[in-house]
Amino acid sequence: MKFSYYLLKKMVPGIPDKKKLADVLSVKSFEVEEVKADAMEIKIMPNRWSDAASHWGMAREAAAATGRKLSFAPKIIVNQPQNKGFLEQIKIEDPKLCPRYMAYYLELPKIGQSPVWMRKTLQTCGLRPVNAVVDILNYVMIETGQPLHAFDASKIKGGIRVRRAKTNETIETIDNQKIKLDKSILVIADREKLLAIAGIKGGESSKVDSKTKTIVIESANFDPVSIYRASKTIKLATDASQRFGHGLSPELCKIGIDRAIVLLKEICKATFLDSKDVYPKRQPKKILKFDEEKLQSVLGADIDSKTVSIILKSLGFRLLPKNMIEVPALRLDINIIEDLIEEVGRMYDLNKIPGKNPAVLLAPPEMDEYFLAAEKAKNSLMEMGFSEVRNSSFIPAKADGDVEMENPLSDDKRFLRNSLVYHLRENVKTNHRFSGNVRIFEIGKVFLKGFKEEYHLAMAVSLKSGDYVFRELRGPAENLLRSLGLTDYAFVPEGSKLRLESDHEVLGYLFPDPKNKAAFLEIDFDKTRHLMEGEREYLEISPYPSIIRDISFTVPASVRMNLILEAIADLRIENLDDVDLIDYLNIADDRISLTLRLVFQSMKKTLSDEEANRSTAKIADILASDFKAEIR
Amino acid sequence: MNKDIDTIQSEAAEAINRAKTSEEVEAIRVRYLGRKEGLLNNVLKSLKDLPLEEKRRIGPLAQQARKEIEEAIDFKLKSLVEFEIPEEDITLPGKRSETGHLHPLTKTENEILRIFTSLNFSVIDGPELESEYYNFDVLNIPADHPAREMWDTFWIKQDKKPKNSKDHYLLRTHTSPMQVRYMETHEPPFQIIVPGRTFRYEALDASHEANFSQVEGLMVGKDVSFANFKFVIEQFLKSFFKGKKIEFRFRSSYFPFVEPGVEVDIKFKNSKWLEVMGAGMVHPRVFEFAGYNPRDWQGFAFGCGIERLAMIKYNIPDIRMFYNGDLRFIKQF
Repeated sequence: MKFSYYLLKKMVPGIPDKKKLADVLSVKSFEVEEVKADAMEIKIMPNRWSDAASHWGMAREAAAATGRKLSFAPKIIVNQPQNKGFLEQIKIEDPKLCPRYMAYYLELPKIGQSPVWMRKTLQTCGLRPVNAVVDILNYVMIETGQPLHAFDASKIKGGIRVRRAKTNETIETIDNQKIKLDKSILVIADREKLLAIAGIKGGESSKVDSKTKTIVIESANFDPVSIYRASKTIKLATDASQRFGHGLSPELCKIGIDRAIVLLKEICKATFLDSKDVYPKRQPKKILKFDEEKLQSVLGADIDSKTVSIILKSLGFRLLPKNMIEVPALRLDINIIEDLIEEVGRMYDLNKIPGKNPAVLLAPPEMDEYFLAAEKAKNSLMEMGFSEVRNSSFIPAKADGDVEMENPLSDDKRFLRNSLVYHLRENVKTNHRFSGNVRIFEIGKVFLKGFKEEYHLAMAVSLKSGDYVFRELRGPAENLLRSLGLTDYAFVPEGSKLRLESDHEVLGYLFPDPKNKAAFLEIDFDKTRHLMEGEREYLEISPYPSIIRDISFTVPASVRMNLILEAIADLRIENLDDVDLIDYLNIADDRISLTLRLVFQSMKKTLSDEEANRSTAKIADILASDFKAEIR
Repeated sequence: MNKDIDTIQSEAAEAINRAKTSEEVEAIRVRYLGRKEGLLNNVLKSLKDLPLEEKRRIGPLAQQARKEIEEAIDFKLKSLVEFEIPEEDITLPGKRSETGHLHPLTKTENEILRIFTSLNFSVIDGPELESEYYNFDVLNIPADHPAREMWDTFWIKQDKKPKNSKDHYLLRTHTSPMQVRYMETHEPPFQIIVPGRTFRYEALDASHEANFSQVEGLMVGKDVSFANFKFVIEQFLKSFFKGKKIEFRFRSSYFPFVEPGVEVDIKFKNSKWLEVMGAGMVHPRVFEFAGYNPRDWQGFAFGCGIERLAMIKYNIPDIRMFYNGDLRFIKQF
């Protein structure tokens, strides 16, 4: 919200220069976002519109924050003309939605221009000067915070009614927009027509124009939720709707309208002839008990009671006997002792409170298992040359997710990802342009039907050559599983994919992507980490040497490796400790060449060459008989 | 005899001079100084048959010659080591071994976790798909209040109209929902942090991403105070920006779930003020929603953007770089 430094200075003559004021306000009150010429852009917090969205309120903050005196106070008219017959009846249908409605009736000799100083101030605050009446009402709004509206009195037929709009009722606004209303929207009407959308915008039908001789000034208070919703429903936000939407005090109505009368008399030579004030239930006084001990406990600082009194008084609080504090009527945000503590703390300056080491019971901090497992996995993958990426949680409509956004940012962010592979594949493609081999992974949430979410882990390998890329993925994948402590798992072929299983559960899949010379793995990381075993246990190391035999052979290209390994396992050869594929080559279209390394080891004795040879021969036999292998 | 020693010494000097490798020099050492058959040693050995007078004269001369030959050998060896070129070119550039890199946000998170666990904070995880109830209601952010506009929200499409706000889904706009979720199942005193991904309905630019990460902090006890918050957060930031001199600034601010509310700014030498987190003392309404009696407990909460910290720490200009998967970026960390 824009403020005029000049006007603030008029209200608090002693305040420091703009830059200095901006710094003080930023620390103690509100963030000052920009200072340009006379204008200060100040961010009013949503809970402070009732008192501080005005120069008067901001001046009070500035005075309290800098220890100066506020010299401005709007004049309250005591003996105004009342019920003189110029104004007809005012009826409020639902006082909950409109706690107060004031109307002042005035006669104007003519509507001219407002004075230069007023127009300048309005412009500083981002408002366009129109004519003296409109300008004065706008000026009073930025000065006191109360939105006001003027009707041409001659155009109101038979009193004013504050009621809900009827279904499909329409109104033409002052700026000639036709707006369709519904029953949730509050309007100001007379016997025949709509005069205004309550708290949002005036209507064309009762507009003040060059022929206007008598006006009715409205100063009302509306229920914030009702105005907030109405403004959303009809998609029309105005200065007034913003203010009412945040909630204002009905006590402000009279302050604002009386200030307007002073200016209208002075500038327009208006004659104040009549007034009405419908205010069935006065805003109750708010009195809180101040508790110094609580203040010290919450802030953790000793602030003496004299300082506390000075601060509270400077903000308009009244100090009553027995530690009772009366809250200013406009401070709708102050309801509990903590709110008072904040007022004292910020004006005292939170920076002056020294930090204090908290007393805590020593206990080892807990760490959610996810973070432990993720750290393990990430470090393991990093050691194997994989780099970590983080991708968007959103995927395009065409990627076919399970959870859709009600309000997507764009069509290519319509769904939440149900797999990490979509973006990982994009990463592979873009990185290929800059680097040869790509090894990446991501751990993150995916979102599934039924509004479920799971952590997944995905890996991608893509090689410039593209040869045997699947093995380049599977090896590290198995290392990863082992480093996570998963000891018992199996890869089961399923079409063009390999299914990863453990403990009768499917953990995920590995699959090649020949088009991108890539291979991917995606696993349910939550499920996987729950299968992790605890601490590892020492296994005895054989004191006897091992014997190694490499066996090279060719088989038809259609033979699948998992079947060979299963066949060897089925032989149940004693002392066969490990079988590893150490070489793999396509030698012709229809044949592949393989080398298996067999490791023999016994816990009981040194194995003889003959034993190793016998076992190797057994394996060679089964390769030849079951897989048409030619041993080389 | 004199002549013999002179001859041996000059022969040795010439041989040392000619030698090309340290092996040759070693052979010379054996030939002239060797204990068994060394030429100079033989001269010394023959002294025992000479008269005492001769021994006295020649002995020191032979010792002197020995010393000089040894010095010449050592000098030659040193010069050979300097100039000898090994067969393998040890000046070749090192072969690059391909290493993986952790994402800078992971590094930042790890650092945050390390500092807070060392301060005795537990680390908690929470859902990204949240309900309106936990994201807003229990944090004292009522529906139809302009305060909600501080959080631009992604809502989830639901086929059935939600029965209530617990059944109304959104993407969490902050990690703060975990405050009440955690308190519902735990008794104070405790101190926790909750790192995780959060979402805002915002157009993308250099400082805004639709998904980003936050870390939430919550400490509750009998008399946990704002002064305690200052201590903890200054410790954290000092440790996180190790080696840099930091100034702190605590500004009054407003978040409906804290009272008083503050924003924390930091400033390095020659920098301007940088906003790093929002924080405050837990609002009594939040304690009520969690089922605590607000008269019994007090505490502070804070929320801090992890990208923001990483951008400051690593001098990264654009938040979008974290999420585009470009290895030229990631491999810098």
